[in-house]
Amino acid sequence: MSVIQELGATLNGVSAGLPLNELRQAADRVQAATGLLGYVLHTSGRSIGLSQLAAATTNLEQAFATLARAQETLAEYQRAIGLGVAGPAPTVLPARQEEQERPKPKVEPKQAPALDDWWETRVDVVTGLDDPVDKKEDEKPPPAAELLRRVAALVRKEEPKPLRVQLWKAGPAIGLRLTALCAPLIQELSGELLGRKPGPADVPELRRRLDKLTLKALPGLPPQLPDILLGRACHAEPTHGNHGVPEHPVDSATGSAVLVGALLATLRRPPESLSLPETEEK
Amino acid sequence: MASVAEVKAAINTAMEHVLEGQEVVAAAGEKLSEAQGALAVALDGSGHDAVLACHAALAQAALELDECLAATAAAVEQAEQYVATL
Repeated sequence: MSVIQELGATLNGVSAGLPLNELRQAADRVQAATGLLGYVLHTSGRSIGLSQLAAATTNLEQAFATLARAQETLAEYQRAIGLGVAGPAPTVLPARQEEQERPKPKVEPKQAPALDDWWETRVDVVTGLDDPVDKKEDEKPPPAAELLRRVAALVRKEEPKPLRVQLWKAGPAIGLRLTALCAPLIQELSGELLGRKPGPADVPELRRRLDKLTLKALPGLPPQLPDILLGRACHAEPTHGNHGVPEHPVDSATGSAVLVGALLATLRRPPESLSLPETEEK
Repeated sequence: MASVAEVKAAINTAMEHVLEGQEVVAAAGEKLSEAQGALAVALDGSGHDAVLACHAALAQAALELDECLAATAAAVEQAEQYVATL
C-alpha cells in the first residue's frame, strides 16, 4: 500500500469513526427526558429543566450537523488529492471483501440523517410495523383529543396498520400529550369496568381483560408498561410496576391511548362518548 | 391530577434518561477526541482549505458537546432541587 493509499485508509477510518450514531442515541435520551418533563409541566405547572434540555438538544443537533460537514470536507479533500472516498457519510466499518462482492439490496437514497425522527422510530418499534408512511409536508396532525378518538376507534376495529399511521403522523408535539390526556381516563374507565374505584390489586384483572386488544395494537410495547400505566390508575404504590427500566415517553403515550381504546371497546362505548378538553392546543 | 409521587417518579425517570444521554455524549466526546488526534497526525502540515475546515468543524463539534453536557448538568441540578422541595 502506497503512502497516499495509507492516508486514504486513515481518513476513511476517521470519517467512519465520527460519533454520529452516539449523538443520535444521546438525542433520543434527551428527547425521552423532555417528554417526561413535559408531562410534569402539564400536571404540576412547573417547568423543570425543560429549557436546559432544549438547549442540549440544540447542541446535539448542531454537533451532528457539524460532524456531517466534517465528513463532507474530508471527502472533498480526498477527492482533491485523487483518493477514492469510502462512501457518503460512512457511519459503519467498511464491509469485508466478500460482502462487498455480494449483490446488495437496493436502498433508497436517504436524506441527511435527522435527529428528530425519534418519535416515528419508536412508534415503529411499539407497533412492530415499518411500512413507508405517506406524509405530505403541509399535513397537520389532528389535536390530541381527536387523535385519541381515532386511536380508540382503530383499537376497537383491531386495525394496527392505520393505527400506526395515525400515531406516526401525530409526531411528538401532539403525541406526547396523550400521556397526560389519558391518565384520568384510564382511571375513570377502569372504575367503570370494575364497577368500583380501582385499587392496586385490580391491575392483573384489568390486564387480563385488556391485553388481547393492547397486544394486537402494540405488539412491541414493553410487557411491563401496561402494569405501570394501569398501576398509576389504580393508585398503586409508586414503585408498582417498576421493573428497573426507564419508561420511554413514546411507549407511555401510545400505550396510554391504546389502553383507553381497549377500555372503551371492552365497555362497548364509542370513542365519541369520551369527554375531552378540545381546546388544549391552538 | 398527578400525585407528588407520580411527579417525583416522572422527574426521576427523566433524570435517568438524561444521565444515560450524558454517558453517551461523554463517549462521543472521547471518539471525537480520538478522531481529532488521528487527523492531526495524518494531515500534519497540510494547509488545504478542506483540511482546515475539517479541523474547525471537529473543534466546533467538541465545543457543542461540552455545552450539551453543561446544559444537561444544569437540568439535573434544577430537577434535584425541585424534587428536594416536594
